[in-house]
Amino acid sequence: MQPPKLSIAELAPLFPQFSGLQEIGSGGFKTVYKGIFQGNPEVLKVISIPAPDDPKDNAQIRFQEECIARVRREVDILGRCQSPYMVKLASVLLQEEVVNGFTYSIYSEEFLDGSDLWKLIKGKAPFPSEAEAKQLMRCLLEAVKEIWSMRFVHRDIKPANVVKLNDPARAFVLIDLGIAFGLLETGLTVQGVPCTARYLAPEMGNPAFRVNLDYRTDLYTIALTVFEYSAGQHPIAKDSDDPIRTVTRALHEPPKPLADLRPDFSPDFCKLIDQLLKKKPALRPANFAWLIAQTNI
Amino acid sequence: MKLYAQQGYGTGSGDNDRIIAGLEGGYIDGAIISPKDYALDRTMAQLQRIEAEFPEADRLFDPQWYASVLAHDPDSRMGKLVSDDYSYFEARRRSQLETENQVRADLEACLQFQAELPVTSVIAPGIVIRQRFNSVEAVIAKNYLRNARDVWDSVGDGRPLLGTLAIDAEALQDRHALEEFLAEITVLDSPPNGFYLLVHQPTSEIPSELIDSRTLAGWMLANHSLSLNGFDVVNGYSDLLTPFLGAAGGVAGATGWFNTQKVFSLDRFAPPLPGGRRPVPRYLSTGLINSIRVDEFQLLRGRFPEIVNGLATDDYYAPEEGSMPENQVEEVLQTWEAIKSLDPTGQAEPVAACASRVTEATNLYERINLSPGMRLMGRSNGDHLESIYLSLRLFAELAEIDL
Repeated sequence: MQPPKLSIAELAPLFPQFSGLQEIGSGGFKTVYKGIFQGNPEVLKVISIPAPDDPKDNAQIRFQEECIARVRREVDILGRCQSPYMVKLASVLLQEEVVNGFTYSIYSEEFLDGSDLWKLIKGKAPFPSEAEAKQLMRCLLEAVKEIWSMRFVHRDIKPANVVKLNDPARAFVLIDLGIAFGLLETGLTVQGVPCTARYLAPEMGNPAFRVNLDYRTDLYTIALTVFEYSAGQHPIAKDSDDPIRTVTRALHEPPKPLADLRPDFSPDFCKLIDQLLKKKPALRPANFAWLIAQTNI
Repeated sequence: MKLYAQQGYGTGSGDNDRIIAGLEGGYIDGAIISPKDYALDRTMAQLQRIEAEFPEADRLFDPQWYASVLAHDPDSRMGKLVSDDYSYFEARRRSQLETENQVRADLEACLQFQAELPVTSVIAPGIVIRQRFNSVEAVIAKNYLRNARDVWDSVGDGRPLLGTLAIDAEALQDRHALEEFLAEITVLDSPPNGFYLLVHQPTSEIPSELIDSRTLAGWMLANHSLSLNGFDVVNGYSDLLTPFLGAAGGVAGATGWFNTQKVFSLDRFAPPLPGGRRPVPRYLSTGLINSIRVDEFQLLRGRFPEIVNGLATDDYYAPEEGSMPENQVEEVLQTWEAIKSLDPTGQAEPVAACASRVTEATNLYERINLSPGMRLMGRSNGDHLESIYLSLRLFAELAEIDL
């Protein structure tokens, strides 16, 4: 059973050090609140941990334990990340709270004063220049490089998980480690595969994907994100498609070439994005140093 | 794309040194020396001479370590590999190679040996993946690749390191296993700078279809995937397939004067079969993308001038001499120059350029075959073109590119 969202009235007593708490977003099992701590804005992330309908059902109990473990893992990784292009943890360390008999995992992150790329795309923001697209790519590559150095794969890089800041030193910041939360996003996930259908790397469609999974899955979704932000449209998916159709396209349909939609971009950059969108991981260039060098303006 | 001499038996000496003649003529860009048929003093002298006279040329030494698993067989023909010259070479049983310590010890001995040679890049030893990509041999081969960089960093200098990647032709046909294998080796933690890629065939005989289309497509895919990931791919024994591998991303190919230098096969370490004859000289026609016997060339060249390359080495095949070159040196120079001239890598769409050339060659064969009494037979016929064309189509599909 999915626990209900916490109201402000239920949350506030748990964190009396915060003022001005307000809900700023929710999705799946997660609700995000903004609050002020010692004069600085922070984001409280509250994850509703599904409770077993039957306390003797081992499968449900295992699922609950897995959810808690995933949250712990995400927080652990975030805590170890030094990259400025990954969101930072803030004052509230991970804690589990029981409210009305339901369990919630709660921690806080820095508040990023910017808009996520999904909102910018849907809001018909002006298309970015090639320099900005390259900057986005570089930020994401640096973030993924660090995550991979810990032998983790994000698996859920997408425009909604990237925030654009008005800060040249941190132009784009990656939020939400999909490895921890993808499975919980009931409305967006594909049967047991922890990722968002629209941003599914083709190899994730292989039931045995865990055997060979590596960071090239993230390189694919970086390219998807850069493409969609640059062109205002997804290279493969269509907004009108249902998730099954979306996944089918991801597995079999070739992406549109970026140069068709952004002829003003340099051919080399378009070619690089196209190459990273190849279905087979072995066809995606994977040398971080080389890739980052390609984003030089 | 570069072309190297794949050195082997019968290199010649003095004015008849095929490698020196190839370098002097500008037909090759370097040489891969193999120890089996070359004593160490000749190896050293040859490498030093190339270094002195052709400083731009690439100099490589294939340690032929892949033969070590055959060396226990008393009937095997290891040549100079088992002399005192090549101290790193020892017989190995497969079970010995299953331990990482042994692999590292072998790497160390072989790379230390090469560190003393005036080579421009060193080639780490490896064994042939003769079974499938999930075989014990594949695990051993990957272990050599995984450890090569670390060992070379400890015993060598800054020269580039190539890992030996020797794969059976049949294993290359399993596309899913190949893709998984490539996915694995393209993200090694400490990779070499590139790969010395060999495709093992059951024998050194060159069949009329040249190569199975699935094998060539897989070979091209390996070149493509590795080059995309920043690795230099040097294809050994690639002969006439060199241009196609270049189109896929390879930086170099190699071939020599005998079949054992044109096709990579461990059968060259087996006892020779009796009754070998000196082969009839051949002319490599770029129009046909094939080599044909000189008597066939003589017969056809007047009626089908398109089969004549129009290159400098055509002079060795004078019609008034029956299109017969004077010696094997001239024959190999002609082969090298013809292969070099097929290099498609300067084209915007090299794979498509290869496909166009194959189509043109097919049309030329059709016209020849329609002429009375002109049908080309055996290895000279056009069977290989269908195989190559299918390879290009299959490669395009595997590499997700338009053709």
